Amino acid sequence: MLFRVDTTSSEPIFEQLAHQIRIAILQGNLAAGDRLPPAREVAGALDVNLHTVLHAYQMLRDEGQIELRRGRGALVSNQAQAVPREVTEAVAALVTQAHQAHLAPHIVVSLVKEALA
Amino acid sequence: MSRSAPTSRNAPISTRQILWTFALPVAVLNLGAVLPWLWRLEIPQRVPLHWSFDGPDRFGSLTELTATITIVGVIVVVGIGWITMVLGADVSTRRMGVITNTVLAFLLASIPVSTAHAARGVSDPSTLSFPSIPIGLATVFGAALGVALAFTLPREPHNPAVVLPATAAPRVALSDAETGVWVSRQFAGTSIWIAMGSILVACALSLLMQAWGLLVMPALLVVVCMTFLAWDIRVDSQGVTVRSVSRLITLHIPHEEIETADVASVSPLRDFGGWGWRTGRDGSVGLIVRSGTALDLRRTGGRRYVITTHDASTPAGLINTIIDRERQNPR
Repeated sequence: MLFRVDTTSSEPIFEQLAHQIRIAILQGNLAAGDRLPPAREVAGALDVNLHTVLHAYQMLRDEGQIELRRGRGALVSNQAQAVPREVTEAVAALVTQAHQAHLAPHIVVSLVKEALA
Repeated sequence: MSRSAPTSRNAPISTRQILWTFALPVAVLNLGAVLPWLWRLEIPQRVPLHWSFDGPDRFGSLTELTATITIVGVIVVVGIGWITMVLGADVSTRRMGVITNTVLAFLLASIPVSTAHAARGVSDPSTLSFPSIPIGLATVFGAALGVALAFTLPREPHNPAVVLPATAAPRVALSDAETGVWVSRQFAGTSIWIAMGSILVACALSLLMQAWGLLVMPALLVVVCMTFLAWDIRVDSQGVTVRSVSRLITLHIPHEEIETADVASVSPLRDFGGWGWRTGRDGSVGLIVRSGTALDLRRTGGRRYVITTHDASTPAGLINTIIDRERQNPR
């Protein structure tokens, strides 16, 4: 799994990591039962603090996306579900249309929020 | 930028490599033929050639016992030596050749030596039991010696690449402010079942023959499976690191020496003759645990590494992106 960290971003690193794992689960790149890399390995590779990675993992555990088991590491939870392909495709189509219409991201987000309300 | 022709092979064949890969194993195999001849006056005319669960079931002359094993052994050792030393551009392949040949030589030579030794002073060769303990001990000794000799082979000189990765090769979207790493554990489907089957058969044979020395074989197979069929792969700012789950082997390829990373499709039997740490027909190093996509790394010195993994385009893209960044903006 690919992890990326932008140290210049205002978004905390643990949130960046949690977001990437969440998206990987939602897009079906990580399935229930898949093991996440050990936090120590991710921290070492990214040159970030171990507790930053653990914070991201704990956040995902609280959301029910992953399970943390002593001795077995972090596993994608059985409750975690990938988004149906039709929804992913619809989102991609929306983004393409928004780009063509030169809409700013916050406008698109507002429209989606309004539609969901 | 287009790729220039790969740089010439950077691992010349040294005298030490010839000694450990060919000379020592062939000498050990010959010793396996000569020692029984020194004892020929003390051993019966007919010696065991083949064993069943109840003891020896086929007998023949001393020449039959020694010649067959020695000739087959020399052919196999020379074949493995040629593949790993002449085709293998990477020192890791040559080390594997040294280890394999040393283990094979001691294993094969120990069969006639221990059989003939057990037959000394014996009038009825059908009373002999299979000399499993000396054969097991010789195999373990061969493995230990092979590992020790392999690591006397010198590391390759640093050989930085100057070209940029192929433009058609994958990339990932990574901004200049971002650091990317890719980590994955790869283990096998089919190969694990084959390995488990081999371990069970080796255990069953040892138990049925009550040849306790042969239990060393399934024990070695477990270590071999943990070492060659399950890998942790990591791509970070330093390079590509592949470590066996048993932690006995680590392969590190720094980004500076990678010319390009791409995706290959691998059929283990067709392309590498099986699973595990393999040598391809072109001398490439294959870390093969399944069929399908693989990370295909081209390194300076004509070295190539093929590492089977799911989603190989992501690590290949990350490597190329990091190399692009480093070579276009050297620090």
